[in-house]
Amino acid sequence: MTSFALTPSLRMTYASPIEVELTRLSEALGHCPDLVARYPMRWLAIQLLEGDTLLQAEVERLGGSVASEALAASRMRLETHYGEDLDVAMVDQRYRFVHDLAAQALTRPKTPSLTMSDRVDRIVTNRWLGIPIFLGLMWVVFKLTTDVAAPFVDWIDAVLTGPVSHWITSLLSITGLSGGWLESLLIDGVIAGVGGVLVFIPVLFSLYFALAILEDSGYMARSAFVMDRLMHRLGLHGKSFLPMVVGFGCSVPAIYATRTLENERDRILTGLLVPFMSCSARLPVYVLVAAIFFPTMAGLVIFGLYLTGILVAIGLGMLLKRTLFGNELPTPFVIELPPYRLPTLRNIWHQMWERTSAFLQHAWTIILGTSMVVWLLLALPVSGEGSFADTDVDQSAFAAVSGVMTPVFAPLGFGSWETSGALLTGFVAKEVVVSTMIQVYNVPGAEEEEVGATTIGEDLLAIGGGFLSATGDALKALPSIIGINLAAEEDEQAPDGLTGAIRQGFDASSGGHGALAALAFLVFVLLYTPCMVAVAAARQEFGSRWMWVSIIGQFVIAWLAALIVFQGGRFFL
Amino acid sequence: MLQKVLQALEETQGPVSLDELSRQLELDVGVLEGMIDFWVRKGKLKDSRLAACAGGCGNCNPGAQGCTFDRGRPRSITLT
Amino acid sequence: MADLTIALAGNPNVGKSTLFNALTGRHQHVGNWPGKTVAKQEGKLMIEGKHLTIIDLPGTYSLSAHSPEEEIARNFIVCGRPDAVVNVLDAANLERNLYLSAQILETGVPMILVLNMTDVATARGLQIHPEVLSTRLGIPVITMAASRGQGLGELKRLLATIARTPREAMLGSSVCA
Repeated sequence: MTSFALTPSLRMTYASPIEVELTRLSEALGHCPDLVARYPMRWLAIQLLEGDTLLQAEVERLGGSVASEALAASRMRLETHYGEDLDVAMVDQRYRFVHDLAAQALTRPKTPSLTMSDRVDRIVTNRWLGIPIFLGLMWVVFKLTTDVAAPFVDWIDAVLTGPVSHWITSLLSITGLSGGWLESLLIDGVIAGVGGVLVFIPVLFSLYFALAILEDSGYMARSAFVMDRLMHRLGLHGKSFLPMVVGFGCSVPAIYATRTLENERDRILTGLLVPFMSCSARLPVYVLVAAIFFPTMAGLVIFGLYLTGILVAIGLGMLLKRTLFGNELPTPFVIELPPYRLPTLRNIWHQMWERTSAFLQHAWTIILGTSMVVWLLLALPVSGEGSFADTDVDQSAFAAVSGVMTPVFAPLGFGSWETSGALLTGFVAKEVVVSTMIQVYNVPGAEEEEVGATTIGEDLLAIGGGFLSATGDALKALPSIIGINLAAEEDEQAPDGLTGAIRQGFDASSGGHGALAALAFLVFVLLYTPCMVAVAAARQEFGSRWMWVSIIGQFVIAWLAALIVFQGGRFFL
Repeated sequence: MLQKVLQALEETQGPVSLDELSRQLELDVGVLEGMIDFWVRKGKLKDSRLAACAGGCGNCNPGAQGCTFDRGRPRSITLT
Repeated sequence: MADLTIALAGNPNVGKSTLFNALTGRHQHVGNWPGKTVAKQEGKLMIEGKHLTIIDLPGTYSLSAHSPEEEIARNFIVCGRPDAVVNVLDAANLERNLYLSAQILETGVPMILVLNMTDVATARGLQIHPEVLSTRLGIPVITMAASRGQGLGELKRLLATIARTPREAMLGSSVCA
């Protein structure tokens, strides 16, 4: 049994100057019994030369000045060979030793077998196919978010405006509070405002679902890689697209994500471009307006908007890079592409839930607050004969305030106080554009058409039935993503109060080019300031000067782009 | 071997994936990652994972793992 | 003769915990490393009438003390005086894993290499020659697929041999006295 040994017989040898010092140093350290009792001498010497501060302190404590001086002397002598990079040299030699060992102990296949990930990557990150595939997937995502979510949007809408409003009215009449300002606040303020946004939860839910699949499967990293390569070729800092991918979800973390860029100029430039990436809060606005004006091609319109955002960001980036930001060479970088994997339901559900609940939290704070302020301003009469909570919206304080902005938007085709007001509150958050529009276009008397009284039982039954038929419609919409239309062409429904009012509003402000004005409006929503929190983030990250550049720049670009859409469209149509 | 990693990064044009770099240097991805970690500690490379997301979130509540929207971002390594 | 202490060391995600569980079964104790928030896994194993204490060290890529985990692993290997370190490696990622082995090697502690996940390595077309590693380093090398229970018997036999061998026979001159 004496031949049985576990102590390695092979000793890794360093380059001779280091070995000389290792021997010297371990000999010197060997004179300190306290050290000898604790550490293997050669090992200790290696760590000390490699620059281990913990052990150096230990050696100074236990070995005293003799040990420290021996170490300093060894280091000094090695400095002539390695300069400041002694540790680099030692780690490097260890890597070489390991490399040789592995080369002997391991036969690698002559042609390394391609993993599934490799094979998929060859196609997905291909120089020519990469971008078309990215666009194709984006298209599927927006078809999914609009078509599949639409029936559920209608269902929630029906539930909120039908049974829920109905219950609130009944409850108020039982407690004897009906007909007053409280009913108006609840119905016209909370239900119309917050409810109007909540209606779009299915849309966000399916967007988050699609984003979660793309992220969890590992595709998102590839899309950033592919787009980065494109941006690099256009002379932009490649790494810019990484924060922009985050921007599809929310602009705020995207602004913070610019911290990964090392160059201050690149960071600011990317921070200026990130808000043009269409964040998820803008989606409800697109869905609402597109459903009214472009019901048959809502998916296409939304896809076009996202694409416009990317193109504006890239185009503006190129322009700024060649002017304000100096045309220096972008720094190269390595990106880690995680292996592809099958997304797990648990992960997807977790992300969807986390993001949707973040949205709900937003709804109860910012959106509720803004809706109530808007309601208050709408309820305050500034002209005419109305009294508080019983005034014509045209004569309200909100109309007066928003009216100031209408001349600015008039050339864009949406110079009405209603749209101006919605865009004004939209500075707070983009979902608020929806809630404000629903509040201002709220046609008085629309609810009164409600037929007869229903019992709670009937209501619940209707809610349940509505959900089932929504699920059916959503399933029918699924194949249409790939171009098959199963759902029979529905009869064009007579526009309900809100749809009609919005259509009329846009028609009136654009001289009959309602659809064109709506498109210009969407482009404007896409490009102007995303929200207050994003503004605060920009200020924190880049300072107030750049914050103002960002706000004003976005406004000007949004205005110009909307002008081009509306006036250009009018010219051609 | 360690210097080769820095060199390759200096010479590369545009973004490169970790796999591409490992093939180019004829190193296992794992080994390359170890070397990158070394240079990150030495301050010659910067790892996006360590450049914290921090700050806040607009549309989201930053949880224990940072912002929920920030997790889709892949890790990237740059020369400093 | 005194009982023995065996430490399991290796990179993260090399199947160290699976091996630890397979060796110690239900005889485990989880605590914390003194002064650290890192969990300390300790288990008992009876071989040849001797009690073996198995310590599952935190998974680390190196012993350079850049993190609490590395510091714990390093301190235990250097100052904890284990009778042997079982270094678990991912055979499919051999070169990276060997870096830690090279550092353990430098401490001069008695050690065994366990090349785990050989099934994964084979599936990737990698041919491993454990005998080459064994001859070059002069220490026992075992191949294993812990998730399938392969190689466990051999490790246990080796541990039995260690249990029988007088400590002095396993130690080289360069180890802490």
